Amino acid sequence: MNCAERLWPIVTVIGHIRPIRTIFYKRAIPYLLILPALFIVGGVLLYPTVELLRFSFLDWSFGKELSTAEWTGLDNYLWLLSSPSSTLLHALKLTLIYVVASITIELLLGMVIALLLNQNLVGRSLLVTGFMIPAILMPVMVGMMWRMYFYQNGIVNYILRTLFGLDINWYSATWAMPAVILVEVWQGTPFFVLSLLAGLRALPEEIFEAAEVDGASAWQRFLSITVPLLKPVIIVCAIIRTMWLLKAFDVIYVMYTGGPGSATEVLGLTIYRALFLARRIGVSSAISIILILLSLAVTFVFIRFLYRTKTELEV
Amino acid sequence: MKRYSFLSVALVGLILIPLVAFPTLPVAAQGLSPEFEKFKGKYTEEYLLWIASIKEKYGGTTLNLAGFAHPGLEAIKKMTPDFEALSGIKVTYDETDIAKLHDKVVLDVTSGSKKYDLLMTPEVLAPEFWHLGYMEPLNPWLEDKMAVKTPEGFDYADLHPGYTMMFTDFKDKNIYAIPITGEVALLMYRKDLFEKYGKNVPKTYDELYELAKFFTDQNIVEDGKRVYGISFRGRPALGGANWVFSILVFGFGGTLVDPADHQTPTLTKNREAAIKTIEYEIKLAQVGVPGIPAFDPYDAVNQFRQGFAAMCIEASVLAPATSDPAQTPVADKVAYAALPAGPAGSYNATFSHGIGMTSFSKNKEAAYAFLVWMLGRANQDLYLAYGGSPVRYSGLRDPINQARYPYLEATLQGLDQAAALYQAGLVGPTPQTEHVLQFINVWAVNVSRALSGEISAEQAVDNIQREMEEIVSK
Repeated sequence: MNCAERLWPIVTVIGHIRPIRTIFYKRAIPYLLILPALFIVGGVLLYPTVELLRFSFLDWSFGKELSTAEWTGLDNYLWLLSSPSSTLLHALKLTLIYVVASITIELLLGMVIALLLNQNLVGRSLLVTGFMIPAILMPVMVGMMWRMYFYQNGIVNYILRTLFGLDINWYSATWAMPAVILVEVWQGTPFFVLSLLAGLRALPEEIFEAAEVDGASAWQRFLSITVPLLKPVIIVCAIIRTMWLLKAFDVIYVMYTGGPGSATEVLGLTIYRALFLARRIGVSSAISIILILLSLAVTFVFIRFLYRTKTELEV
Repeated sequence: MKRYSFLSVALVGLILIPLVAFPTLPVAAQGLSPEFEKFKGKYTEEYLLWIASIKEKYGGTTLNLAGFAHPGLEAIKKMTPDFEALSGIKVTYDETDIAKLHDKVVLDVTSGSKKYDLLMTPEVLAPEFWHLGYMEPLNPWLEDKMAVKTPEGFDYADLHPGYTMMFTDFKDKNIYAIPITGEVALLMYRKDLFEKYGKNVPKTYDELYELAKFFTDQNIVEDGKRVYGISFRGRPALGGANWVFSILVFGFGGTLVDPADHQTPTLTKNREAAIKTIEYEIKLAQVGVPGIPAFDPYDAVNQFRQGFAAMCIEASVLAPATSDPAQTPVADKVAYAALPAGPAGSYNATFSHGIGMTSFSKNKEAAYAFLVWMLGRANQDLYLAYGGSPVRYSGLRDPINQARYPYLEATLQGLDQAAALYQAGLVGPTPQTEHVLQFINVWAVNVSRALSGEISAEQAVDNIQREMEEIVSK
């Protein structure tokens, strides 16, 4: 046998391996490329979450070593759901009110402002920049500021008294939640304005022109063209803001510390109280897990809606 | 010849030997060097000599102090440049809000960082900190058993026991911090309005309520501002709604915890008294500045000193801010009185903040030197001039201070009222238990909920008792 004849089986095998290898590489390489990022994200996200879950099954006092913690199984969850001392259900209710009200108002207000800013206005860039100011302020500063504005003798009541003859006690249990919603709308609307404005700018002019030629009114064009085309933007903005608001803490803490009474004790405040004031790591971890599950559930619903919308648009 | 030579050698030896054996004379023997001389009028010679010896041994050290925003700390910070210049010890202040100090310190220790040498602690947190082993007992230092001796000008005995007891373990008598400020609850009031309407300082809780209602009903408007009857705290936070409740409850005959262990809840031992306390507070808030259920100490006193309230129940430590023309338009119209008496007696409670050393500090000698310098009797006048409040007998009783600080007399009366509490064998609002913060949280949240109308006074009392029992049972 000569050299070529000896090498031929090897070459044949390699020749078959090469296509197999190519197919493997083509399918595997994307996953291999994102593997390092997955490791980091997994380490940063997954490990703390698993630990959080573990802590939620412990009876462990903040400030003491982990070795002093006792395994209690589901006792923390049962306590949260059934104990008269637990404020979980109350906090859940307040959080949902806070999130739904804030997102709804921000979306409507953001849409109106974005539509106005989408016109050819003189100084539009300056206007848009000005609208962003609330969004870039530090939440703690915003809380301190609005706390003073809402005093009985503060600027908000001064304006209400002067214009409408109203005098509201923003520090009462009735009005504290509307106050924090108002502040959140003030600070969160610019995000919607910016996103919706970008979405509006990207819409094709021809569709609107065609609709106008066909006799559609401005309102009809808005409802039938603008809103459906902006749905993906709206949904993504809503997802992001909802995630943000579900864990709201800073502004509410500075303004009311969850009060007066427990009128503004959203989930973020409940977690804070359970950990730093009641010193129960297990209970605060359990509330955090519940918050994570709630966030995932809401995200799941939104994402499904997003994909359904995308499919409708493609059709 | 030999004798002359011997004399010469002896003379030379007498000169040379001390120079070789003692290259420098002890600081005390040297007297003050020029860099210390220039401080002579400002500080006592004893203290200057002492700080010079500190500089020799510990100059170049850096101390980290964890503290919270407070007039007492501001006064100390103003004294710091001189301390740094004289001792060579640099001081860094890591300042936060009082409600966040606990989180900050516990996180620092449990994370392993342990960077603080000094800890400014409110009395409510001190027992927890020392039970957790964070704080160094000061007894050996005060008894001169450690490397740094305590100069006479420090005078620990001059500190008012109403304040030092906050930082002394009731079981083993270990001292964990030196009071930097002390306070009692005062009634601050607008003497001009009292004079205008012919009203006297209230002596009972009922009179206080009637007076507050009277002023609110008058619809007084000054410079466009509506003046209400009273302002006080009601926020569901540390130092919020718990504060007034935990003082007034004794005036109604109630108690908080068992004196034997400082933690068994006894609120429902006299349930009616506790309910009456909260009902009284609700009634008082209704004739006060709107928003009381959300007020923290600064909200409460700001409403008063901006002219929106005729009276204010607040801490004596905030009194200077109500008599400073630079800070308030009503400075010349404010007077101070002790709290009125309740049906069961005239009581008050002392609250104090102190500074102690951490047990894990690597610079304990320098840290103790800081405590001695800043909080000693010798430098008390400077501390007061910079806005600190007096915690010493000498400061509280000094006629010059009493004339300069009009709230001192009422403060002394408040200290007597607080002493009555302890003489009656009762435990005040800051029991020495590791659960004190949790107790305060329970009081603050439930009282705030009652003030805002969320729950009744009865529900608040029952909630408090149940939640305290849950805490202790763990």
